[in-house]
Amino acid sequence: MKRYLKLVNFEFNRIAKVYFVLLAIVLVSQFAGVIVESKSYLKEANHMIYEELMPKAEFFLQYGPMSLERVFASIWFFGPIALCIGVVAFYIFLIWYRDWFGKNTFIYRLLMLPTARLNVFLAKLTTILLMTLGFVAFQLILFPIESTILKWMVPKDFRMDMGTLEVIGSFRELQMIIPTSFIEFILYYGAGFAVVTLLFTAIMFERCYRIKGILLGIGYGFLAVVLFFTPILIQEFLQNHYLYPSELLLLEIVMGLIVTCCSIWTSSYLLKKKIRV
Amino acid sequence: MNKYWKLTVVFIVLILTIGAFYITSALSADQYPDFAIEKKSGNENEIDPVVIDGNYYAGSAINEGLTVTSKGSEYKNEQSFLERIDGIGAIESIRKLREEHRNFMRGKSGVPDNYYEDETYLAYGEVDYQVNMLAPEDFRFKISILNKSEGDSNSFEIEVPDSTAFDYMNVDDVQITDGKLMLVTKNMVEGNESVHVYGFDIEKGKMIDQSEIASIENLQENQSGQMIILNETDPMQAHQYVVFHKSILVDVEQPEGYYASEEVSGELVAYNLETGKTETVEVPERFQNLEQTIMFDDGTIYFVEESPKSVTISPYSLKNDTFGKEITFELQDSSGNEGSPEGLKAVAIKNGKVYAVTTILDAKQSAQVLVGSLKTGETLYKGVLKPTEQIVDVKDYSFYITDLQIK
Repeated sequence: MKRYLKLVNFEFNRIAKVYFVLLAIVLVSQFAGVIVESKSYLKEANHMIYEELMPKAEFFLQYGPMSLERVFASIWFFGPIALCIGVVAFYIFLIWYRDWFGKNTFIYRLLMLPTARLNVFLAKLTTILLMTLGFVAFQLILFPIESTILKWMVPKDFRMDMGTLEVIGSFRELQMIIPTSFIEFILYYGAGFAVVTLLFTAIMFERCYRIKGILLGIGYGFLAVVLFFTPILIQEFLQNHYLYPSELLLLEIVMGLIVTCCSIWTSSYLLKKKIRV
Repeated sequence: MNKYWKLTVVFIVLILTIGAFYITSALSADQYPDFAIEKKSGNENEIDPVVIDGNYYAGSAINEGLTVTSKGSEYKNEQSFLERIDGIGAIESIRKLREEHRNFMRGKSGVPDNYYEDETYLAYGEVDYQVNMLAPEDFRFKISILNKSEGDSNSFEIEVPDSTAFDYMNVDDVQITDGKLMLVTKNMVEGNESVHVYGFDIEKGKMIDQSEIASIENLQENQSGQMIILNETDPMQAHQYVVFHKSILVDVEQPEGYYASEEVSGELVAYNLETGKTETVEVPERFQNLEQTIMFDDGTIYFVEESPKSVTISPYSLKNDTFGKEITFELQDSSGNEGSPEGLKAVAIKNGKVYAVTTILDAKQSAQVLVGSLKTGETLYKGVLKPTEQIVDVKDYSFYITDLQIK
């Protein structure tokens, strides 16, 4: 356990600088978004009401009140989130390949550590998970602050205040990142975890058998996906929806656990017996 | 300083924030307002069988389904996650069947027309077919019967006779009369719709007979025909008649240049399941209009007319072949906007009583609920559907009624 924690800490510190920079980018961009969008809304309001002499009520009817919704529809908000997603997706691969292609083949030292090699694998997995959930948590912290900034910028008559839950509820895209029920949260991120394990296993195949390994990795991935979807495929194929949705969901959770365990076991085996440096 | 500090900080912040978020999220689920039907006059017991499904909206973000009965309201999100995904989209009667006969209901549709239920039997019938490149083929009846008292079920599949040229087939009603299961279907053959009845022996699982009870023929070039089974509040219950609304439509060019269908003739075809006889009822001209609702319950056809202020019902008895007295019940939403397009009402008729409710309520208006006797024309119950406590913190809430069912 202690070895594992040490490895997690080590892996996390390796990316920490980039990670905190990313957090800073999210913060700056989203705050800037709130300010810019508020200003442009107020400018529009001023222009329409005082220059075009549009009655205030009609302005509201046409433009609606200012709220965080308006900010979230802008690139200021989704841009940095997309960046973070991209970086994590990229780092899923880099977290392994940097050890082989770095200045000195670092993987050599990692594999020589007096601990189960599975710990190296799990530590990298944990790091990816921590990064992802860290972004989610950070975004949850930012919402109320952004709401406060909006309150400073826009007079009360012109804005509609929203709580964090309402903010998320009003955006389908946000609900995919932060679902509003805890069960969905576990399901979404559990599925994400399973996918990352699968990718890691494919990487392990490639690292063991190189070119041939790519094919093996793809083959393994295909098998795992088919295995995972078997319950659904069987029902669709037979045109017989025998299982209730809740039963299907439970079955899929079991299949997901099986596939994930298989991936971890396969990776552990490859790391122990077949890995090439 | 602990050398793990970065990791520790990230981990603690993560757990606290996400934890706090989901705890508030779970707590706020109880914060939606409760709704109830409040009596204005009449007998409170009259609304016991009423089940109202609707959606509560607040702001742009909140949209929650809820069910209101005489006992109060229940939000969908108060159910467990698994209960909820099983119930998605299902109406009250199907939800109840799935709860009571979970195994029998496996793999069966959510359409009440496919079911029949009495004290002894729960029967299900549908038509399944294979969709191939060129046309659907291999039409089969899939029938399941549950004997509720003995607790055993029996399923069989039978090929639909003469179905090679079928374009489409749908089961519109399932009935059991004297141990004989009957499926009333709408068949589409080369663009012509017809209604058939197929009879089955429950014990042997065999088809006994079949007959055509109505069809659309001799259409002119710009005409089209349709046959629609009349809405029944509870299509699962035993009934002596099935009634189809057969109408001939003609495409009429509108001044704006597009075409719209207009009904040129309409008749109701009633088939007596016990005697196997068919009778037709001409639809009086004033009811010939596509928006007209015609309902059917217990041997009587009801022509329902809605106006912003009232609901008028003209009954036609199939037993006596006569029109009864027209009855008008006053029912007006409190906004009083005459002719507002939203001023629609949900109407249901069961056991000689009419149930009606205006479908929208919000801060300005509450939904009016009415139960009336179709035998005497009396109003048995009047009430309003409204929040149990004044909603103060949400200005723009609304509650849209999507479905009215009578248990």
